[in-house]
Amino acid sequence: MFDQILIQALSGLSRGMVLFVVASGLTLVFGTMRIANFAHGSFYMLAAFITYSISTMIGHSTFGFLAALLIAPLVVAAFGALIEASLLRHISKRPHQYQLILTYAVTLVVADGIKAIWGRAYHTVDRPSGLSGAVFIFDMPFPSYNFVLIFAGLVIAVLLHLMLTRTRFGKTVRAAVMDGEMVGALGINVPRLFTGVFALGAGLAGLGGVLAAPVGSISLGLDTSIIIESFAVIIIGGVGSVPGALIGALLIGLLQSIGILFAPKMAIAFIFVALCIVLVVRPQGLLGRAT
Amino acid sequence: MVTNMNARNWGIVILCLIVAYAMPLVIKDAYLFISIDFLIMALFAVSYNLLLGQAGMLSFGHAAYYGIGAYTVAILYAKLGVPVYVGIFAAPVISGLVALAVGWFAVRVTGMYFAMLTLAFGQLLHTIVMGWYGFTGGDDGLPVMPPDWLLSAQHYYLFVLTVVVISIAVLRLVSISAFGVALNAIRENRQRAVFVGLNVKGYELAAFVIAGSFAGIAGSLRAPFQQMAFPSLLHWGQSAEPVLMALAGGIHSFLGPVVGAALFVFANFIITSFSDYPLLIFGIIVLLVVMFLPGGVAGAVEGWMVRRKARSA
Repeated sequence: MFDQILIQALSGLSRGMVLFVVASGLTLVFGTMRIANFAHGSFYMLAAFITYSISTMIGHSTFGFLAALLIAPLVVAAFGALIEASLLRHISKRPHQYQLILTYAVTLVVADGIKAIWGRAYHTVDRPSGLSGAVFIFDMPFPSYNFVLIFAGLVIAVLLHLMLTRTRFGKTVRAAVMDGEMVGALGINVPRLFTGVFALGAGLAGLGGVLAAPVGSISLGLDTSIIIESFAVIIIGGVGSVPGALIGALLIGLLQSIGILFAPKMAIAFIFVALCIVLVVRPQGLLGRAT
Repeated sequence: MVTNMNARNWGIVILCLIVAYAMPLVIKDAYLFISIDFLIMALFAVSYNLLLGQAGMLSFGHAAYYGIGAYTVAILYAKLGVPVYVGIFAAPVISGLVALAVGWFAVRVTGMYFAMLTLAFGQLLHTIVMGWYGFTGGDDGLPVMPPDWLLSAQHYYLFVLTVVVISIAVLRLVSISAFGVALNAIRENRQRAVFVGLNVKGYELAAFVIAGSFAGIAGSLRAPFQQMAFPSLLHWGQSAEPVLMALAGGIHSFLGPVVGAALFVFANFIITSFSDYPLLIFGIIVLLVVMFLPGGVAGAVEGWMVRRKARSA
């Protein structure tokens, strides 16, 4: 039993790391722009499909995957910037239901757009060569690619932390999370900042989509599962907090993977038990600030 | 929000009712089916607008209570042989109880958080219905047959019409009651409502439960109509529909969502009949409506009438 739990915990950590990369983008967008961006899951899904196309074009190799890792997040970030600048910016003063429904409409357009380009079939991306095997832990096989995910998640967490604390853009973003009005009053170009943050958020969703592409299949519907989990992550972690997103994501990854051992079909319920406990005990989230 | 109706408005309502009840004598079955669809969606949208339009609560999981209403009728029928017309009385009770359980947690947060949370809980309920194969039939759905006297389109139309009219009338009474006025106060200024001593969370929870109950009635009419309860009735895509209908029709008039429901059902019918990519086209229409029709259709018509009056004055 112990070895089973350990294996599940490791796979939960790797899933949690992907979730962190995606949710960190969502939490930054929400923190600065106060938008719960439904299209975030669509950016993730779009990047996974782009990864499929790039690896197919270049050949399913390590190089193909690395190329996708570089290109797909940039393409998705550019797409995000386009949506912010052409649509969201113009309704930023309206009640929040309009922004919400607008991002929802984007999910519809992207979902059917993907169906038109890539079809309804399931696609798969091979794991980079050398990482397709398994490591044996207590005589149980564990996919070595999952270690890459854990490592990649940690690297992205550190890079994101450095960006938010050391660069001018990152500091402005953190200031906007704390007090958006003050940032505007201090003469920061807020529309440009928002476009930048939205592109960053979309890029992070895209990065998560590329990392997750070799695990499981790439299909329509990826957007829904990731957006629900990401919302849960940022509510648990505290909106606007990147460290909170890390804690929330790992918690949800672990709860889900270990929950599968006990209730295979209802593992998702464990997420909600955690969510409800946090809401009762600390409604602002684990690392969120009380308003 | 208009709280009192004058004689002219009563006249219009009564005229509409007479036309609605006379419809089966005139139009073909195919159109009756679309009309039934519209009536169900209208109740779904009006129940939702108690939250968004009146209390300012942006729920994104309303389909959960709609779907649970549908499953209440289907499960009672399939497991216990309870006929449909009895089942629809149970639907608002079960939907209301589930809404009470979710709402108890959800009203702890507001605004976008509330939207995310209601969405997440809605998807949880969807997952449970999908996964609980022995009880709900999983993604096969659960068949439900209306009794013989409700099978014809004419009869089922009249049945749905009666239930929907009564339900919307009750919702109207709720919206103009002291309770409804308190919800308006919370929407306009939540902080002030707290300061004057309103139990804001209690009111919000009550609104959530009432809206959920009436969504349950709408769902209970849907399952016998399709002779099947499907998990997709609880899906978040379904939850977006009342939001869209309310916004498209106009959230600040009581019957705005009814107009929105008519537009929605009609647009859906047209789009799905000619396009392979209905979501794409529908999404683009929604983008255009959000960008260019901020007050919904009802808002646009009102604005146009105000401008016309100003010109003629």
